[in-house]
Amino acid sequence: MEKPTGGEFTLFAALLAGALLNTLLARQTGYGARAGLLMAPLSVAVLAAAGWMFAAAWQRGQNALYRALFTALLALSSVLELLRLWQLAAALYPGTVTLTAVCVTVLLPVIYLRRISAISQTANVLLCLLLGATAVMLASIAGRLQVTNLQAAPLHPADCARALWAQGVLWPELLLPALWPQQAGRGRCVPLRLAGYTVAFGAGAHLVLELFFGAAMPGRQNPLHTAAQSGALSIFNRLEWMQLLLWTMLVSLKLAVYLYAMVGLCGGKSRGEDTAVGLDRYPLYFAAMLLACVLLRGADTTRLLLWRNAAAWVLAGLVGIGGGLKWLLGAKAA
Amino acid sequence: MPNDTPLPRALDEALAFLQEQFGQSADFYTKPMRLGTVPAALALFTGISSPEKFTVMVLDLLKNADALPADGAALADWLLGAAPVAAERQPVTAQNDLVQKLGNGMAVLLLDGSGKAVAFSTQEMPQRGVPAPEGEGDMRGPQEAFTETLRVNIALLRRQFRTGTLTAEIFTASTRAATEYAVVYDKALAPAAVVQTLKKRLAGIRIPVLLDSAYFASFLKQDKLNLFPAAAYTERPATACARLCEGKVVILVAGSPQAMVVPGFFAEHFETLDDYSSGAVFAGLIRLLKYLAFALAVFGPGLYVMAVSFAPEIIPVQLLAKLAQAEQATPLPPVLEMLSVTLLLEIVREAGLRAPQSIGHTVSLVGALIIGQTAVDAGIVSVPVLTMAAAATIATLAVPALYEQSILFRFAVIVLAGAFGVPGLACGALIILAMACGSEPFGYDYLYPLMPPGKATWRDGFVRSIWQYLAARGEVLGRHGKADRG
Repeated sequence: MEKPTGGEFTLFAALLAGALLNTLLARQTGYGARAGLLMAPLSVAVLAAAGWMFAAAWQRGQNALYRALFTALLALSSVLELLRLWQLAAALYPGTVTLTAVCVTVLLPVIYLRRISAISQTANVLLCLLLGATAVMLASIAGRLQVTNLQAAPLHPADCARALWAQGVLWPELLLPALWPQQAGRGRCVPLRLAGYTVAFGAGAHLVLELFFGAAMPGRQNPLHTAAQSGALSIFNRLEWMQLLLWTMLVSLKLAVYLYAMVGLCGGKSRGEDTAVGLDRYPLYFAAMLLACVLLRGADTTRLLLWRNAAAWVLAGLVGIGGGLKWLLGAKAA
Repeated sequence: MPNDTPLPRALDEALAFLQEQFGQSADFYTKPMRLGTVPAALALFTGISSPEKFTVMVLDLLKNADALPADGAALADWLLGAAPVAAERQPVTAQNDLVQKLGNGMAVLLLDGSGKAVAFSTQEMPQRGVPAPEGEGDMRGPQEAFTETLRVNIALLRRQFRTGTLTAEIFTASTRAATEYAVVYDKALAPAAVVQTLKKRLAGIRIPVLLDSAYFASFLKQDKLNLFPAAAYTERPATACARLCEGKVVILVAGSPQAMVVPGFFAEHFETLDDYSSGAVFAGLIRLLKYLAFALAVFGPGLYVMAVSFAPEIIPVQLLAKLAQAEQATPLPPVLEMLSVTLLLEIVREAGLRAPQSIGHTVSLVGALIIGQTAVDAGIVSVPVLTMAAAATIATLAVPALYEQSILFRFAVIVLAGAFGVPGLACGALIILAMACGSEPFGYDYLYPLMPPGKATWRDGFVRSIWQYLAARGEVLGRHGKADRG
């Protein structure tokens, strides 16, 4: 009997949605379209290798220190996502969206995203919505996409380095499959697929933005929203609310995945169910997130993101070295 | 209290026990008699059991019998075995069994010196005939509904589902009233694991009273915070039969004209019998309209509040001017205005539903006039708010199975959107979505076949394909496989 039970749900869609969100919430573009497309295969290879190495090493050499570091990384990432969304919302609706409101509206749905089935199915729905919203947005600005906007200046090594730097961010989504080798996704090469889709989506978005903005692209704040604001497909003059709606939901989903991972890393488990996070720690989680957001509200999120990226690479390196040593010592002992 | 103490062998002691139990009840009836040489007594409750039936079944037989056994034990064995009479096969040997049989409307024959009583199915309960369905409007298909009598409901199912694999198991719930319920399924189609799990869970339920199959629903839910129902309900035997063909289990409770179908999926609430009688294209269009109606019922008022209060740029300029003019004339902010109107509409609906039929229409009329005309004229509410609230209320009725959820979700969305704007609307939408996605009735996807998108989504999900495709594949629980997911 085949039946879609909780054990068969995959978290790949949730991880992918979280990874794509990183491009959507970016405050500025990171590279020129051509350089991005050129460096994409290399970036995918590097990120996939890092993800695969981390997963392999985590299975062999995880310990309490690594789990604590990974938990801290996820907690910091959660706070950063909340801050990024708040900054975006505050830029779009000045004076009406407070940080508390963003925290409440993003963290409240996490209560209902405690099960693998909820996370997985919700991610499927949100990905479908994202696809539809992207199509609507592209259709609405199709008339303003000009091929002549593509920059034709010769590429320099610095452009390629910038693209590689921007694409080479080791998002926690690339490390998370190590925690759930059975549930992260059906099939093989999960890190490769994740890295591939993420980098391709980012490069595609940059291409569209360059077709739209031309030489002005690098200086634009919240470029995707700025592009959406000019859409005039339907009776609605602007589509930014629709994007903000969808992106808020994606942030909630992303934080739910992080919480699910953090609870697992801390050894917590729901009573009677191994596919759900218990509610007993939720108030603590909510209060901690709110407090951290309040403390960091004045911080430079761009700089924090750089620190987070560095921390992710350091963690991946540490775990990789630890796992490699274990493998070497284990092989030697054998 | 009766227990599993054996029945006394002496007739006098058995009658004394019954007298102690039911002696003060006016409808309890006993009649001492002598069958041949054996002292005996008939016991039953008048009104739910017929002494005439007993007379026809048993006494005529005994009167014409050539020779009756001379002692009570032998007579009981003869009645239970060789006698040409339709007695219950198992003898009544314990006090609690005796009480239960009498409560079920059976006539019980007590025999002196036996320690066994013989029960006869002489039920004759007051009941209404098979009615026409009132809550599920369908133009085509059978026009009969379940009634309050359990056996009649099972008969209605068996009449339409004429296969040897249809199984109807009857149990007694652990309630003060010892209410009976039936678990009906097709043993060739229903997954054995689902049936066993369901029976186990139902057997473990302890409630003081069981008046409807919906009482079980809360106990079958995995996540108590989830507002979506884990089961579907129908008053139509035809719909129940269709669900049985899908491998689902139907639960009937004595005294309730509603059948519960488990596991229940989200898409089921948008399906009707007419969908399958109409043409596929029309049925698909109607089904899509119902999904749109549900979305309007839940999100319409909240979206309006959000647009007016936080994101006026999404409203076309001409419409925005009219809305602004209307809102300026009212004293309340849009969120409170929408909440007030929605609440009043619900109060009117509830009053119309609960009031005696003779004044129900008056209540609705007065409510509609007060809210619709007077409130607008007095400038308490604006016309756009009233229009949106009324549209949402009407849209709710397009999917009556999700009425409760529509109302609750609507209020939540209005409050969230009114308080937080776009993020609030996103919050409400995601909570509803996560509830639907997180529900796993008996381990199955609640959103099947809608999500994840696959062939089944277009075969019998958002739309319905033609019967040739439906018949070729069928929808049977437990066979939702990877092939369906495309």
